[in-house]
Amino acid sequence: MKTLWLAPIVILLFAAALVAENKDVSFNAADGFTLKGTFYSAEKGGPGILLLHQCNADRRIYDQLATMLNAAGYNVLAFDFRGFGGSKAGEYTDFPAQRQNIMERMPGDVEAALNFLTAQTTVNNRALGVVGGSCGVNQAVQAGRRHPEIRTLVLLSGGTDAAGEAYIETSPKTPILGAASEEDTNAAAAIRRIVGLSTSPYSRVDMFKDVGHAASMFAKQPDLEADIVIWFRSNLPVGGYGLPPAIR
Amino acid sequence: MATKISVVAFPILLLLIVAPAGVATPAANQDPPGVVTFHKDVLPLFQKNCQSCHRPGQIGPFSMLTYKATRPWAKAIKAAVASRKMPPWMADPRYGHFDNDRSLKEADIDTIVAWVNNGAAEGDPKDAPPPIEWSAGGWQIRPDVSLDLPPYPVPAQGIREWERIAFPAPFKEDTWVTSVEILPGVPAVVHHMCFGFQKHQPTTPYNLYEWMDVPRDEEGVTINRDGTTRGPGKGTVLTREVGRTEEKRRQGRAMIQHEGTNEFCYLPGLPYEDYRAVNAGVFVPAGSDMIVSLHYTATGLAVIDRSRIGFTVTKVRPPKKFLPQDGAEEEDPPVGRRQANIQLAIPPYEGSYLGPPAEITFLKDVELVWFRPHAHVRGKSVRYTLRHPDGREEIVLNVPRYDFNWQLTYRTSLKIPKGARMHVQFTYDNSTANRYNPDPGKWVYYGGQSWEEMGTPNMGFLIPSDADENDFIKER
Repeated sequence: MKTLWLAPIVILLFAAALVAENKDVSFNAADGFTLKGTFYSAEKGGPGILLLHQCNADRRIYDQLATMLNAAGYNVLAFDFRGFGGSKAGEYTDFPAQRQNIMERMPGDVEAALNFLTAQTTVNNRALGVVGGSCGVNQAVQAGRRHPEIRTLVLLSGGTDAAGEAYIETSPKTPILGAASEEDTNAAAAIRRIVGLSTSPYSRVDMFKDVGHAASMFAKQPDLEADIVIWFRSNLPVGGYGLPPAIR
Repeated sequence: MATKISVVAFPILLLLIVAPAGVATPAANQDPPGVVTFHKDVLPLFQKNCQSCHRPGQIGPFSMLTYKATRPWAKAIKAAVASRKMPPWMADPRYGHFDNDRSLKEADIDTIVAWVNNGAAEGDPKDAPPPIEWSAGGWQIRPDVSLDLPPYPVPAQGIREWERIAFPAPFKEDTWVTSVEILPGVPAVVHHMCFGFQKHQPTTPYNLYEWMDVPRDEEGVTINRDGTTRGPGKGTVLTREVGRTEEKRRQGRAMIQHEGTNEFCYLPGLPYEDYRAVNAGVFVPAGSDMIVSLHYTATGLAVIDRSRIGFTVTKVRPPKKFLPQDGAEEEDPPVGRRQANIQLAIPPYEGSYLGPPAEITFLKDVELVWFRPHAHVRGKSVRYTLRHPDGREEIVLNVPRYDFNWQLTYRTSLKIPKGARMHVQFTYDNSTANRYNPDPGKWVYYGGQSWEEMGTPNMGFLIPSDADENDFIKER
């Protein structure tokens, strides 16, 4: 009975997502493959946030989070990796069967998405953040490694490789919010390891119980989406003197 | 393809569909007595303390107007109020009394925490207080008169010095201004926006931005540290007409001089100025100019700022006149006012540096009505100590954790006798522990840019409305 209150909330959140203004977009990766996404534009301009989905879902899993982030002043891009959602086409239509092939192309897909995001007129391309879930965690970390303008990461239920760990250890100015569910044993351990390696004093890990994997946690832990928005407002300011000036 | 789907009926329909599965119906919303509910217990607190910022179009990241909008943020709200992070209020409660104290009482915090801990119940909407009727257009005051500043293109990069622009004041007759609100168009790029009134001078041009060239090193640090916020009074003057991009240079003095003071300001986190509660105003004679000081900061995104200024006014002389504290002018006055802390030099990695104190002497009896301490990203704390003529010392405001993102005004009523002195001490954190410190390894000097530092006491006073406002205070 105690969880029944969640039902109308989830429904209302879903409805809120529908009233948000957003735009379906497409852009090409370097190899010419067309990726599909949804862009939420910040009316007054502001930082940009890229949402990288897990490998058992597509970009729609971030509909509500994207809406909340957008309402809080952020430009948001959620896109489908090739082989997922709207980006199933050509030779990329079956992720389980083409796992290695698709995974190898994920960094290029992320680059294309970042290029698209930072090309938008409302996006401050010096102030970026990335959310990654599960297989998207390593992609988020690697994007941070390649782009110093990515100032903070939110990582849900996943791990990274040695290069990613080295980047995290040497990035004291990149705070990380990690989250996972305890029974999701490997993912929880990976998130704990990442946040433990972080040399930013502001990095934090949120552990839950029995709420699932990556962005699927939102359904049973709806407060997590709000916490992510608050995290970005604290670590990727939309205004005030906390926004670093751009002298050059 | 753009999508904007309005589905007002949609959630209601879905609620009706799933209601038989056990979702609470309106009848079930009637919680037993004693249960903390949104409408009965929590909404009044939110209306009083939160909704001015947490509503559509304001700076809060989400709306707290309704249960539907608020509920997803319940846990975050609990964390913010329990830690006293919200509402933002930085004054040490041991000192002073402030009319606009936004901090929650312990009982209020307990109510909100209990509401969240017990499932954040909605309760009966009939228990809700009437909604606040907020002003349209994003205003917090209800302006009688408003004006739009010219669109200002802020480039993605580069340094914008403090600029001035003059306009005819939007009043045809002698007028008392009783409240002012400056609404920045793009708050992210507005470092400050201040203005004051003065009698029109034939040499004052309109629709012209004017600023002094400030020599800077390659990292943007002022080379000539003369303590002015706009550069030297004489030197290279730059101008640009409104709506144009060409800049003109000449040697000499600025044409837009401001003999008076900045009565009104916008700073990040600063609400509107309102003198109605203390029966005061600022007198604006017919034919006055507004001298506006603008400081924009490039953030990496080119934007066009369209800021607005709104006023409430009266033709009836109020009992008291508002007088802001300002810096002293010297024989060869700088264009920008001379600040009290021009010797400021913060060593690298210094975590608690005492800045040069400011001291203001009161030459007549005066009523202090607000403090508004101002520093930049390395500001750590500030303390105002009143030294009475009989030698007593009284801490009248202590801000132990200064937050540059909340340039708050602390409203009070403090009767200060002639001969008293206000001692103002800022401290700065140039260490790695300051997360907003752009470079702990650098010396930091006085300057008007956010990577430089300031330490401005900023106080507001009331004097009889027929009194001469000169010679009330002296600053060093």
